[in-house]
Amino acid sequence: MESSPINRLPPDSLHQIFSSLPLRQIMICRSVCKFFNELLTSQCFTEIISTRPPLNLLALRPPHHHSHRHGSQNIRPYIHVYDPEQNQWYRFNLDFLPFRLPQPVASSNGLIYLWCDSVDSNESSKSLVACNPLTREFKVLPQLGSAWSRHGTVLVDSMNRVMVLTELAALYYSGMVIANQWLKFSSNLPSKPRSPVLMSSSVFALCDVGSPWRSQWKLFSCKLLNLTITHTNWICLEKHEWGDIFDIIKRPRLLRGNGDFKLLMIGGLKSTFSLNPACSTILILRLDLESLEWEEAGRMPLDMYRGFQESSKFKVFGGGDRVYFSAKRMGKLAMWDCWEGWRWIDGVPGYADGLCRGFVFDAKLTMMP
Amino acid sequence: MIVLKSSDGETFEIEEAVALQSQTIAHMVEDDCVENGIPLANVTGEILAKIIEYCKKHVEGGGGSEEELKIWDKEFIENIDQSTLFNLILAANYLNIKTLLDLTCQRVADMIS
Repeated sequence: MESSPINRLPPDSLHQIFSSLPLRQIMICRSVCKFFNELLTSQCFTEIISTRPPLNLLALRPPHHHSHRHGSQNIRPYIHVYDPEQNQWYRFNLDFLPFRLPQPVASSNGLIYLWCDSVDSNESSKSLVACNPLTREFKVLPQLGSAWSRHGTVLVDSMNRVMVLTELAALYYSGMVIANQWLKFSSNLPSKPRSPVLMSSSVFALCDVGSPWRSQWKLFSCKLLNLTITHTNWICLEKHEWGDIFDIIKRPRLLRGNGDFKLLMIGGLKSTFSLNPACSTILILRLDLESLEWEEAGRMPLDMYRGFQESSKFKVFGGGDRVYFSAKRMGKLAMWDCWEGWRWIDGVPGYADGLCRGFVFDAKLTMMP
Repeated sequence: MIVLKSSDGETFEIEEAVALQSQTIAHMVEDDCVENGIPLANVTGEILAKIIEYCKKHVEGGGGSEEELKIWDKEFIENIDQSTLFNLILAANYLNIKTLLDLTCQRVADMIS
């Protein structure tokens, strides 16, 4: 096959041509031929592109795979990703990771973090790996015991700081603080942190301070700078004006809002104050972290809510401009966009019982820290 | 007036202002080595003619509004075949004519997407 004339252009001109294309197109062109692939993955090109605004995507977390169930090695690891702007599902290949069953759990700054079996295949340890599926680079963080991967929630922020939170303790990693080491802190929270969120250098979480018969949720926050030598320093955020705001939401969860100062709280809107009330719909509340005032951001339309009403549990994930909802046996996701409102998302890759979880993935060509 | 000689022996006589849109030629003029015409070994007569057509239009400031110039550019770029387009990029790169390079590269980008 004779080489196409485009191959004869000097690299500068080629860079100029491709750098005016949207990121989505560039990714597609990478698969067109080897020439394009080398051109568009080269360091100088990725540097030109790296300052682009990211693709706002949603990545799905695969359901808990029990490793002894799927013994076959020929399942190619990939991550399912949804593009809300194009209403399209994609798969990003993770085969550049030299690990058997990577479990993606979180993302920030264009990097996806996954739990992987440690290189020495010691059954009782896992490592968190940060990778960029677009550049196919990855970095392995220091090893941790596998209990952290089973029970801990991984939080990451745009400065590549990582926290793993469990009921009793927190691990903190920042490439800058102490080189290549996890710092461990015991937690001073009254009970297990629920739905932790890391944003603007603070961790926010809900904590149940009520009795075993009646939940009483409160909002706690901990500034990353306020980690003392031994423990996290959670303080309770509340204002008298909030009144009963936590009492109207059933099984509340937190998500980031859009911008650095908005926190979302989402859950069923209780229709009564009885102990186990039915809910009339799903409510999204927004807290302004500067003024500490709540407002209603959205509520699910009733015809949409009918699908969720039947299942006792539903999952809420996402954050930023969009929140996603998944329920058992539904086969589709509900999505709330803070600008455009509610809609259904079809074509969800099949999971065993239809219940899936995910996280926001802002894809861009970030370099490894 | 400046004389340009293409790789296949054609000569073109053009006004200095037209030629100066090429940074490469502008440097040569500064360095005062244009006595016997400028040989352009990398550019054929056919392509050079196209480039001169572009530069002539753009030196007058289009002779009209910015809108009219854009329309002319659109016509210009849409009426050339692929091979000419790529040769124009190579020539605009060599001659360092930024506006033409931007126009041609954008055209390729549009064709890809």
